[in-house]
Amino acid sequence: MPRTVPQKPSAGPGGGDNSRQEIIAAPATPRGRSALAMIRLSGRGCGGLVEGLMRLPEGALSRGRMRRVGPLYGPSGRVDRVVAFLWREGASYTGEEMVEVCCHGVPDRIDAVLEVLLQAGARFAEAGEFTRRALLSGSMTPLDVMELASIQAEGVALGKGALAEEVREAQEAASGALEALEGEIEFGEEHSDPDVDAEGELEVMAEKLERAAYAAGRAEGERRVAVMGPPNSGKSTFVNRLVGREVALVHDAPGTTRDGASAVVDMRGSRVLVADSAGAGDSGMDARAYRMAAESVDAETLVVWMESGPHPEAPEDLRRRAASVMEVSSRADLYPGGRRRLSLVSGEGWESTVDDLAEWASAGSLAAELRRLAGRAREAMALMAGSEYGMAAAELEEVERGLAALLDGEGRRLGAAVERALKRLCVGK
Amino acid sequence: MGVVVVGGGNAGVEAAVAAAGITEDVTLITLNRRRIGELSCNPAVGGVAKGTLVRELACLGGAMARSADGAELQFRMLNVSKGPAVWGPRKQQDLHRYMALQRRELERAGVLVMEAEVLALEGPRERVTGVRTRDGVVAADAVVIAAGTFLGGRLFRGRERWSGGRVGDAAANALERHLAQRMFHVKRFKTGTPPRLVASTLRTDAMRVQEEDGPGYSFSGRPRELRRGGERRTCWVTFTTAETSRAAEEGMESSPLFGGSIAGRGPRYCPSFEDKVRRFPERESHRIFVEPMGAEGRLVYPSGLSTSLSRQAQMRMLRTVPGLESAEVARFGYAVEYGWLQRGEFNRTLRARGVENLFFAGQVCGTSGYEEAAALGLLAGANAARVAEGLEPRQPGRMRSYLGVMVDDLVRKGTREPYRLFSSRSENRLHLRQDNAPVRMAPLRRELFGRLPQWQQLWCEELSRAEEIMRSARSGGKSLAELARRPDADAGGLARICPELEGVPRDVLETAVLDRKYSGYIRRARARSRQMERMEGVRLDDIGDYMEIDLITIEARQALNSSRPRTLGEAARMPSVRHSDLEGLMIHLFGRCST
Repeated sequence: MPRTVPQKPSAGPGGGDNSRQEIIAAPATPRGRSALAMIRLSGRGCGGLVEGLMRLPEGALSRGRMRRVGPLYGPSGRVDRVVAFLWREGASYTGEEMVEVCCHGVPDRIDAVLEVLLQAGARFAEAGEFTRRALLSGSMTPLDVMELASIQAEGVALGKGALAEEVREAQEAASGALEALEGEIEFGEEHSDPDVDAEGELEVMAEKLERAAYAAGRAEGERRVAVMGPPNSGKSTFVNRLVGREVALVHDAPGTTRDGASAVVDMRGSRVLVADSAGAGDSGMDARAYRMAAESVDAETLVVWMESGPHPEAPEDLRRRAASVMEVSSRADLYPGGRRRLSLVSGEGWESTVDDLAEWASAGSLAAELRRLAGRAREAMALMAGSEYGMAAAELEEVERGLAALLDGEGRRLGAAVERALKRLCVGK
Repeated sequence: MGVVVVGGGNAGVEAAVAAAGITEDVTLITLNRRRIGELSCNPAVGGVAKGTLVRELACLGGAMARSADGAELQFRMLNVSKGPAVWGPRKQQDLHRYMALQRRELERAGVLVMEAEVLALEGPRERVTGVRTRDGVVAADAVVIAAGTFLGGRLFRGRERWSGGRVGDAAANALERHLAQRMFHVKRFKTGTPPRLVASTLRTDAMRVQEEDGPGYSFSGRPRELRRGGERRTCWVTFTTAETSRAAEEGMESSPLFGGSIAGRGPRYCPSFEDKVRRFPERESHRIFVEPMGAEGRLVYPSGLSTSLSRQAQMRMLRTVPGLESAEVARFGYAVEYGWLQRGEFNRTLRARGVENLFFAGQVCGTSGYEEAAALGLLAGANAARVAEGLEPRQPGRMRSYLGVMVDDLVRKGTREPYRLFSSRSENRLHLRQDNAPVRMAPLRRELFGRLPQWQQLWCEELSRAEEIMRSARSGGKSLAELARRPDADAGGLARICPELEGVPRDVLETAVLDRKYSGYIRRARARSRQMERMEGVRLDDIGDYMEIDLITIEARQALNSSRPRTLGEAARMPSVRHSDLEGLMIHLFGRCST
């Protein structure tokens, strides 16, 4: 069994709910010079908070015109002339009551307005917190969040809603295929006419699922695996074999790998960025290279800690930082009794190591879930071809349920992927 | 005293026979004793899911299975190329023989048959004391109403309309009015039937012969029990043409269904021909099965040509169908509209709402089809007799039988059109098969009737033995139970590997192998059902304002506040409530999550 350190508990989409009624605030535009800058607030009561600061009658924003222009006052007087827009609960980005305050796009003014809002009781929002609240209130689905993250990170990739659209299309195809299959079962030899093409519908569905999985893979980006350990423990050999081509420089002399050579590999269908690193405990240049590699390990990284001895043990600080640590003894051929046994010489343990890595990479991944469902669709086709329509229908129902779970926002399988997506968002989003 | 059954169709006969198995004094009251057990529409029993239901009936001692075996003219196992999970045994019937056999079932069971029209129930709302007929009052400890399409029946053909439960028979109009007066909610459905044709006037060389699978299948005994074949009759297949659709289109101008005079809703799955033409205008041709109606071979039933258009329009349509061009019509097709009791008027034992000893069965429960009616009849009859005997009525489970699926659907979801059973209505379809009905129905049969017949007891014991052997016997390091899950595994192959299995009868072994093969799916279906049941058990009455529950989404809070579901299960079925909301509700209620 792999010895992996469990992922640290983090506030998932269902956690950290006590803070929901708090009013949060953050600039939604860059802190530079521009005509206007916008500061967003979210949480019940934020309309009243802004009404107070603008010295408007109670309900002027929330029950009145929902848009007001006027001065905003701090404890020491007028801070800036602003435009405040109110978005009602249920009709805003976060699904909560929201106010957008537009002030002059000058860093000092932005800071001053924000300062006044925070003094009045708002809290500075964390990265992605607005989106998290949208997710919690039900006004965004996990798919929307992931898509947003990919738009923010890479500029485009997909149009807004395109990923959800792909999944929705796959779901429609699944419903169509199931309907056709049920028609064949119930009426194929009775009333209806034999012109339903269940096989064709199934093929369409499987293709749509595969396409959606590909799109999701692009939206998700890749998982990171850092291969670390003492010098000459086989890290580069391991990475090279994973990558399938010479990426890291392999040499028998210790200290051959100086900078982290990395490559993106397809691991049983998941995109994984595998990074080789300099050996731990080297001196000089290599020590610095190792320190840099260790510092880049974060809660999104899986560390493969590799030693040639029988009892590998990763340093404490790496375990704290990493999402998970897999400790590997790389010379199983020399030490048959060791912990997780892998031999880069004999190949022993290779398959199970890759399996574990792939499993980690696909955990909580939308792309992996869609690939799983596509696999079930193909299985249903095989069952149909093998004259087991009842089983084929059961597989299709599973696919339908899986897709419905993704779309109705349940997304339990997506917890981790959504969490990653939220972390990729900036403050104010 | 004793049990009174109102109606002599498939539901009524079954109810009376089942009641007579529990209590002494059973009376069946019908408008016309000569038409007891008539198959008013198609001359066949069984089909996909329906055939499995007949097997379930057989394993509860039902009359329909025995009569359908005895009146068989042809047998087909539908879906034979689609896997044993969805096989559907179906038998063409000799109508007269079927009726005679159903009457004989009543005689054998000692049921007293009375010819009268039941006008009303006697006694207070919460406990009936009998039924009132034109000739006087018949006292009863319990009453089953199985009036079928006769309950306020109205018949339609073209512009003709008249009162009746079936062509040639009167309707029970007073009883429908009386039920409404007793504050039952009676709604209207409609259904229809095709013209009956004179067989000698068909051009059979223009039609394709529909091959049968031959005799040997038994509904009533063990599935593969060999039986005498009896007389065989052929079915044909033909197709309507574009001209048929045009003739229907022209005839629709005078059709009551399209003229708006029928208020009831018709079935989507067994639509009239004119319905099909309207709904699938792009389709030029529809398949028609031409089925024999008796061994004497005088009449045939063109399945798929159900219509309530005028006589002239029906003639014009027939002229355009290959093989039927010169057909003489013995009786024209027509539609019937009738009353039924909507959801909430009876519970899972089929006992009427708020009445201790009144039960409903058959089409008055909103179903369509002989098999559905018969199965409900058996349940209602047995429960009525139990109540008459001072025993508790029983209910079937939806994970164990199609009977349970149907009853649960009717009671929990209700229906918006005549309810027909489909295999897909069950979430446990891979378990609800025709082959394993003896073991599936054993618990309910014991509950209702107190005992199993010897053959069924033996069958269940043999199955346990086969399962035991398959668990313990090994081949190539794997148990036979594991080997049975391979796609190519079958009973014959396993018996060759393991000599111990040779003593197990083949039909039992086949069931054991199929149960293993589908076990993964069956286990998952059961787990889902248990979870749903747990959620149905969690009541939400104590929650005042959902807006105060921070653990769930605002969307869900609003939806929950407006529709106020009674249980967590009802909340789970709401589209705007997510799984995480359910977990949130659980945490709110119990301080932890247990789903």
